[in-house]
Amino acid sequence: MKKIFLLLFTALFTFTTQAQSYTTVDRYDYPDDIRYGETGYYFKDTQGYLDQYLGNWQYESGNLKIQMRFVKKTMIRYNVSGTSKTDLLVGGMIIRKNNVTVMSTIASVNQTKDYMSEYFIFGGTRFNNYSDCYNCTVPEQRVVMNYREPDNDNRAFKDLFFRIHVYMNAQNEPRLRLEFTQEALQGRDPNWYDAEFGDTAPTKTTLHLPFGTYDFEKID
Amino acid sequence: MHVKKLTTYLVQNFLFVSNNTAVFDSRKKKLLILKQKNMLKVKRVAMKLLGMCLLLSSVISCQQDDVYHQSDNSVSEFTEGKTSVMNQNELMNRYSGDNLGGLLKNSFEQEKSIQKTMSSGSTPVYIDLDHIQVFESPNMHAITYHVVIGDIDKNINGEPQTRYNLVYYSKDYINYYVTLLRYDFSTTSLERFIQNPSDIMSMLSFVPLNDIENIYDNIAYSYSEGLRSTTEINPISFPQFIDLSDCAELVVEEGTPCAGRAKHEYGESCSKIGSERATPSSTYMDFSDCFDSPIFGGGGSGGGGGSFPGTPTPDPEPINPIKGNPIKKIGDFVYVGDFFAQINIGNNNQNVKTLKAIKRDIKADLQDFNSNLNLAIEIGKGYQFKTINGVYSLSLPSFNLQNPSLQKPKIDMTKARAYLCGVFHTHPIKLGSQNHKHAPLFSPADLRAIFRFTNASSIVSDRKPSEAFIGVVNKYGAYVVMLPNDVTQDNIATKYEDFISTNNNGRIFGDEDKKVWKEIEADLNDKYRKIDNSSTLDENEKKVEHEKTLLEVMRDKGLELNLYFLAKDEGEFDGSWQKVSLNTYGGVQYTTIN
Repeated sequence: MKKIFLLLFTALFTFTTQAQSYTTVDRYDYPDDIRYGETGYYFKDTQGYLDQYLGNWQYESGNLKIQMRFVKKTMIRYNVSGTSKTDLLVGGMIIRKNNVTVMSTIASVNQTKDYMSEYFIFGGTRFNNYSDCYNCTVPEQRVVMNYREPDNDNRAFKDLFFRIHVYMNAQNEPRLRLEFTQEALQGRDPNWYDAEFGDTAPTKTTLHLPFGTYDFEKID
Repeated sequence: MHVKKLTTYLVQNFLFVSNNTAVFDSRKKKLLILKQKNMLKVKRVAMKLLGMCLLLSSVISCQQDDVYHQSDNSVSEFTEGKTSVMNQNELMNRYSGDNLGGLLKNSFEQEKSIQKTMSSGSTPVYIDLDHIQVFESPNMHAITYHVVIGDIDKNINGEPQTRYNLVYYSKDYINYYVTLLRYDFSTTSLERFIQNPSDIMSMLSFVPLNDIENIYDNIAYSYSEGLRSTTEINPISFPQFIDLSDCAELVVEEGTPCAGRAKHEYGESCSKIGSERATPSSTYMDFSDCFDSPIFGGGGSGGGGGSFPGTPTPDPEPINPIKGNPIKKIGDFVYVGDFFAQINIGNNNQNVKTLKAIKRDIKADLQDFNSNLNLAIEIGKGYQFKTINGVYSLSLPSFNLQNPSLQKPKIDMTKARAYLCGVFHTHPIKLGSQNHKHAPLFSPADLRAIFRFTNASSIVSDRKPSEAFIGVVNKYGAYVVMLPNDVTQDNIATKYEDFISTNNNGRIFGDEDKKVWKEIEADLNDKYRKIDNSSTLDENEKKVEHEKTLLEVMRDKGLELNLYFLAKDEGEFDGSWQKVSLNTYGGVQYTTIN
């Protein structure tokens, strides 16, 4: 009986969600009188801005190899008053050190999740042009991606982020620059825990992706 | 003339008693008319009038004349009066040229400054000068202070067992009678009293005051003297109003709940401030018929002053009204003829207590933070506040948060000890080695951190979640977020289940793994940047837009936090706190907190 009720509820919820209509606005260029994520709006990448990041990318230097994949998804965002929709980038990574795979999250890219935060790499917030843009080069825009690694029990490694942008190199080949700095820790010390508060020492104290700047080549 | 006055009074009294109906004033307040005597008393009064007329010229003295000098419209004075809340500065400014102004100045000042608390011998006395109830009508004036004497014993409900109110009462705005009322909550609760205000006579006593000008000295001395008379045979050391219950008439005006949806009654935690707060009931006590009371030593056939304890003490024409007239015995109330009581428990809005403590006790730190906004790193401190001698104040030492570096320019608030009440930190204009712009208002990490400080522990066993705060000093001034006053240890996990988790020690923390925080992060980052990069908004418009964005995002995600602002006021932070909220039109409104 409980299962039937749950099924009916899910169906009703899905129907209701899909039945809600949305007013489409551009993901980045929406009117000033509405807020990003506002109920009843679909923040759609109408200009195809995120398309430049789609596909597979790779980086290799010394014993470190990283493969990264980005896809574009449309996700529902839940507010107290209702829902909105947004286009965003979803990504995954394979990291190999000395030819040993230490992390693999690429498969998650093809999975359907209810919430964006269930993906290991997701985002799309864009830094617009401004005079003191951090490490900006032409064009002066960066996209911020949320990043997390699997099997993490360290609160300092939650809520990480890196910035990406695509540029053309001297040979007119596309490159994706990824900048991952200590700033992502947002002040947190990976070795700190508060025993009095009830924290236990984390087992994971280093990240698979080292801090640094990476220039990825486009594979496909 | 005197007889005519009596007749008029009696007729009015008769009509008043006969009607025995609820009277509604223009503000539609519910009025309860309570009788401590039955209808037969009306007849007794009529008979007494006849007898008294016959004996008037030979028996009734000038002093007794004054028993009947009260206005025939005393009840209407009471029902038409208004209560407002002021602090001591506002009160003294309002009455600076009047007798009351002089009286308060003489009572509260020492070495030309207002005292807030004083320890006299072994009796610390605290008078709340921030939350004073002022009742005003044309011919009735009452100033009621919340007073704490010594340590606070708690009853079985965890509330103070005894509450003291210092009352200045006048019927002409010239002569003031001063008393220290004592409410006994040892066998009842504040909630029950609010629901049954007529219980007042059975729970009310008073501390006889002395002719000591400084009010703190007066209370400390008088209280100690009163306790000295406590013995095993006579455990009740303070005169009680119950002794006048056979002759006193009460008129009770019920209080009003707060303007919120929950309609919290007076004494319950509520987020409302100013005129939206709940108000307590008020009681007008008419003692004119107590002149004949046995306690006064008089009989039915004639009055006449009695011996102890009823002999009136104050002079009918005080030589120096500036000093006020302390009530020394129960008979003094009979002499005065009537009195006004409206319990003042102080301001139980925890958010406001914390804000006042921040401004009073760590203003120097706010000024210091402000002067360091040019640094490209965040700096901050953690603080603990406690109630000390009745005052919610800073408990030293403060906790220095580890200074970050230019590479890691943000403060890690999880390093602040969980027993603290909260953290204040800076949001400088530029941040980090790359000097990029720093959003002036709270980040999601800041908002999450507040839950860390809501936990009770062996160090802070009585921590209220509404004490927790996160503060930021930015280019506009100081902002604070706090949980609403009605959040308790019992309901916090339910109210904020989308935002928090509980660790193995049963401690609550803001869980960044919760999906809602990711959405808040994206929302705030996106909109904050849009505001900061705008070339069409001026600085004040950007301030308002930042506030609006934060409030809207919190509202949309169901994150119930109160937002408060203190303008930097040229770096001095001398102004008043304001509650920042969204109005019904979606704009930002500011409500000043007194």
